[in-house]
Amino acid sequence: MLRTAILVCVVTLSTAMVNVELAAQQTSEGQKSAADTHWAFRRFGTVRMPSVQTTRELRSPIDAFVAARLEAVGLDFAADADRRTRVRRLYLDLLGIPPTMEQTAAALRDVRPGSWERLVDRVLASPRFGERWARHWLDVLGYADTIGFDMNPDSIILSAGKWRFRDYVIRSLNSDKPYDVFIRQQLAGDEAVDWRNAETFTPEIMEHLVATGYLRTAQDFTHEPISDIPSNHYAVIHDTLEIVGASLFAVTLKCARCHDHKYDPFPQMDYYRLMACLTPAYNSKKWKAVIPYREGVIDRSLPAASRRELAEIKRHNERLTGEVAAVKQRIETVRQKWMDGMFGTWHQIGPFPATESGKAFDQMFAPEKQPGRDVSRDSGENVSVSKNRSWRKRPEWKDGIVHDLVGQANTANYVYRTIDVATKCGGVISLGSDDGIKLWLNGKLVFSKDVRRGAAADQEKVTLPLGAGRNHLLLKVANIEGGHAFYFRPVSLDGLPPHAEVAKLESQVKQLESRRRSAEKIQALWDVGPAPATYLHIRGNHERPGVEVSPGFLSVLDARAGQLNPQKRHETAGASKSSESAQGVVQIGSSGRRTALADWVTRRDTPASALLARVAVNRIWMHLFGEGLVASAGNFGAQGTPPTHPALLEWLSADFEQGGWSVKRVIRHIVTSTTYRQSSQQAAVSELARAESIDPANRLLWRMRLRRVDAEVIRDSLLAVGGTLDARMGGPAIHSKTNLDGRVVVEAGGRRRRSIYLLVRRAYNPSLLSVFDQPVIGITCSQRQPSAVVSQSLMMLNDAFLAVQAQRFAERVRGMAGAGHRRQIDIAFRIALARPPTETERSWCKEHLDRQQRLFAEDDHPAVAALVDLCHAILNTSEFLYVE
Amino acid sequence: MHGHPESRRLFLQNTGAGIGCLALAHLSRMERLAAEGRAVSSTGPRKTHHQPAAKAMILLVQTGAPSQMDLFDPKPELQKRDGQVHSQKVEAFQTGSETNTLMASPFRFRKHGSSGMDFSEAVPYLASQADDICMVRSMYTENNNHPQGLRMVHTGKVFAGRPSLGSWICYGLGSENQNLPAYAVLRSPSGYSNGGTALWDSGWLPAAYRGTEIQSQGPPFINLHPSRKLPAGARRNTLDLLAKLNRERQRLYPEDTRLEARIENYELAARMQVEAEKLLNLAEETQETRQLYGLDNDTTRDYGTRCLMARRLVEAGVRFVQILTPNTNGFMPWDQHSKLKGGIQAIASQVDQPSAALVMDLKRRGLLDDTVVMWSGEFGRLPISQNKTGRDHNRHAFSLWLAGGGFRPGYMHGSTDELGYKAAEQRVSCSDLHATLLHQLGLDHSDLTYNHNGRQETLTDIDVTDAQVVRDLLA
Repeated sequence: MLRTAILVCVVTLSTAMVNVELAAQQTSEGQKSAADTHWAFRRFGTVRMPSVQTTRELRSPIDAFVAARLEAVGLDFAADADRRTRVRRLYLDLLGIPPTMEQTAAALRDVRPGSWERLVDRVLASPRFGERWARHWLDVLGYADTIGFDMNPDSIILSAGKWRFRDYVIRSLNSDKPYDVFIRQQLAGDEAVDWRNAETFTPEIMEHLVATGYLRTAQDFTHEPISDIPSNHYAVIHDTLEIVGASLFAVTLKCARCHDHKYDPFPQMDYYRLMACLTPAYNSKKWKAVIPYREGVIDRSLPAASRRELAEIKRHNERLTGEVAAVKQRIETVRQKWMDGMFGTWHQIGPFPATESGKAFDQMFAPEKQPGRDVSRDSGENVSVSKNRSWRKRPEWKDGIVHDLVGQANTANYVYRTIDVATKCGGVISLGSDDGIKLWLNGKLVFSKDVRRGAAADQEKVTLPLGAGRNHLLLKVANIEGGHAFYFRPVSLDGLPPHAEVAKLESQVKQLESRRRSAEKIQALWDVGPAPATYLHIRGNHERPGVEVSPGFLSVLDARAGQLNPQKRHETAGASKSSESAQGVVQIGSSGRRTALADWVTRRDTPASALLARVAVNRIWMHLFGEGLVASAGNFGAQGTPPTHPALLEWLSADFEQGGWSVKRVIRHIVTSTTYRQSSQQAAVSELARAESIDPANRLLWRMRLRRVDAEVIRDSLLAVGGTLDARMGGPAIHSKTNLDGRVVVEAGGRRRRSIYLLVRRAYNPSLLSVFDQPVIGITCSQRQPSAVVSQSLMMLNDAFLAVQAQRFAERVRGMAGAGHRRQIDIAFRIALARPPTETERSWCKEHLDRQQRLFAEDDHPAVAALVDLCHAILNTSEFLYVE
Repeated sequence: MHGHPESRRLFLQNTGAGIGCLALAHLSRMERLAAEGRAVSSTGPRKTHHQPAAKAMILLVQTGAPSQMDLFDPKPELQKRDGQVHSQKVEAFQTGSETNTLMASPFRFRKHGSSGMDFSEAVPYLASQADDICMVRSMYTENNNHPQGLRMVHTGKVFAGRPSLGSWICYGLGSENQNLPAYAVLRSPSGYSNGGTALWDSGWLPAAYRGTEIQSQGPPFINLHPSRKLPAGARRNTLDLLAKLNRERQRLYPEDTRLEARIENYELAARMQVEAEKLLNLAEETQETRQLYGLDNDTTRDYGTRCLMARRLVEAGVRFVQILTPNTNGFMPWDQHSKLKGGIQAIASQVDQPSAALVMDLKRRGLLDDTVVMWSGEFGRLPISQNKTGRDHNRHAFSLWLAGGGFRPGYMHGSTDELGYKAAEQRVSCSDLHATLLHQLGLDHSDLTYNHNGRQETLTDIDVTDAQVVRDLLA
């Protein structure tokens, strides 16, 4: 049955004629009659624009829908909030930071018609917009920069290059990428570009690969051999499906893992057909671990470079390696020559037989009676130390090889050399001996080891405290029986001014090494091979496969979606445009299943795209009003909450879909409405009491809701007010560390960056953020829950970060206002709260400055300390944390 | 979710005045249940739960998996067959157990108290409390890896992201002391245990039900004191100004309780500085008590300090206290893959005396009757040797003990097979245990629900686990 309905609403509003046209709607063939289906799973219904009586200006059809519901219970809109309040509201809602004094002033100066709309356009064009709104999407996806359980504070296992996805979301929002394209890229970007054969990775190819990071946000525990097992593989797939269901359609699919969904029309078969869309990429039999936990493990990341670029990088690095080796060899030659000049010729004397068996090591023979003696002049056959023994020169002994001392059991030999150094230094030497060894430097015993062994290189490492000038080194090598030998090699001279040429060559090595290149990583998803057979898991147990399933989609949203027929593309030319079209064209080397999934999700005029639009529009509404039209933003199923304004949701969603899926357009539409412009106060007390008795929860929006801002907005606003917010965009996440007292602080280099760029973990996120309800996300988070607990007050009062921000804020105020209290107070209020103080507030603050100045008399600058204190107090006001 | 003007209850739910769980104690039970129903958009108020046997709980987490056959579950057959290759293949976790050789316990067992409860010589102090202990020797769990095992015991599931037992209990019961968190965590001053903060996270329950770390060295809470020293009276002036500014602005929203909460929180913050320090000042305790907990001894001081703090917290009305093992970050003191005897002696010498002291001290102060003490690891260990002198992980059997809170004293529940490999009789799952704990605290595990994304979630997930209250464990 094919039905076509064209709805044209002509509504007379008090100020204008608004024509609203909803385009043709098609109900899918074979779909059950719409009336039997839960509202969220239907195609848009017929929406009639209500006619309303209100005297307030209706600026948008949105207002007509809201007014109609209000009128039905005898209520009306609150007055527009004053412009100043609205400007601050707009900046906090859209950009997540308050307006600067200049921005507020500029907005107030423009009084020509359309000024609000112009301001909205300006604000929406700010790159700060994507930085704020990306966080909403990342919450839903449970995005984290780390992998695995992430349980221990000081072991952070990064998902390399994950941040590229975060930046992708920011860019997509800033460029107002159509939402359907945004979703398509994330589901199947890799299938839309021919990256496998690409000569170079164009920005477009990168963009499409990075986008698939969307399917990589589930917690993945396959980061060590012991956990790289099928049950964990399937855990990743299950969580990914849960995230897909939640983010696109606000449905919970997990019930359908084990059995048909209890409440929603998702048969278990649907679940596994969806899973089959992912198994060519997430193939348990060809699993790619989340990190290369040991050599040979190929992880689930792509190099951020094409094959040609990789080959180039390899060649480049090999060339470098060759150059480095040559320079290092030269260093060795120079250094050896330099060191050789310092170490004198070896002299040897011995062997001395011990009088008792096994005592050669302990027995003191003639040379060690004067161990500091310079024997270099004693050399020669005719100079004898004791009977028949004299020092012999050993110019043939080179360092770094074992020298045979000719073994005689139970004897000892002595060797001697001079070491001449220009300044005091630590001479590090490496020794070997057969057997025991003693070592004197300038007459002092510095090393002794009684041991039985064969001599080999590097058995001992000894540091000699060398004095400036000539040093005398005496070694005793004792032999128990068998072989008798020693080994000596100078290693380094620590503390000696470096040899000029060596230093030059070493810096050359450093410079060469710095030119080494490596491909960075993209955390992406791609088909790792041919599609494997996918089976239904009986009772959700992957070890109990049931029937084989073919890839498919939620049947309630598209009854035809059982048959997969992805179009294969065999030539690569002109592939780049494929993702823009409604019917994806799949690159060779991929199954096309995720492209088919993307088609089902975004195909216009289907129940699926209607739901996709509703869920997205509802989220936007939630972020602007504090609560969605559907309060359960994470559940549009039978267990969710029905919409407060069903017709408005339908109209806005249809408009979103038909109007090119522009997120900014929806936001603009909403924030220019009378509904959004309302005051959060109700001027007349009697009117307030009446409204509260009729609609205590303000579900119908008879005024704007007073909303506490999110944790990130608090931190970013503190930085903005202090004037030190670092505007740099993108790049690797800024790390934080957990102190022993449990406080998590951002590392020094990134303390001024926006919160979106801070490392996101599964726990141990910066204390300032977690105390203000930044969630710890296991799988997905559809709504945050603002609390007002005392740890927030303690944080705002006592945390060192706050003290620093108050200090900077005060410096700024002083810089702008000078020393006059009146002006300081005025500027401080305007910077932090975007309004001047009232007379009462001003006098309190003035008193406070005077009083604190007296108390801070001991301080170097009592007036400054008092101002810092006042600024700190202003940052602590509730008003700073709330959008009015 | 945002507060609404009408909802004083919702405000208390989401914006409570306390640090952690809130001042729900001030509302009647029905009122509160209604409030929660509203706040989480469930279908309505929950059924009233029953009269509680206990009102607080102390959980002594024994990270690493204490060995049941070396502490609480003597196995004469294992002693007899020491060194024999076992005919049955057991499920090992790591390598090192390939020889499949049975290993006797290096510890001697003896029966203690009039109940004749078995304890090995490794835990002599616990043995002295035999007649107050309820020993469960037939526990089993699902996964033999630490993170999963720890999560199973703490959250009821092996996977991440769910609320902990303490969060559920605080969600169900609220707090009796507004100046203190309802859910206190006393971890080692040298770091986190394996599992980290996940062991006291509130998952998708509101953040207010998350465990609050209380430090046993230095200031008890982070940010309790200003980051730099202020002249006397300066802070008072700031708080006064702040209160005036906040009150002035609040006049525009006379009905908004969240703003009221924020104002009160600043006063509470000031009070806490004083009260928390006072409460946790152990110098007030007698010499005898300090010795009882082992504060006079380097080996037991850390754990003893935290056990004593736990008693004072419970005395002050804190609902749930969780004590972690002594360790540095990630270390698991009960994880003896080799050198089992020395390893057990090392950790037992630190926790045995303080754990026993806690039970004894609670009892003599009349607190044990309505305080549950639970001492548990995440799973057990194997009867075969690993790396010659250790034992590998075993999910099929472990022992834990409970005391107080209406648990049956001097009782040994269930048994394992003749070698201690698998729980055999009167088997108890983690979910059964959770159901029983909630029951003792006056909560019905199938009625304590929270609507998360449209699903009525519970701690025990009865549809999947068939969790049941273990009546035999109750006095």
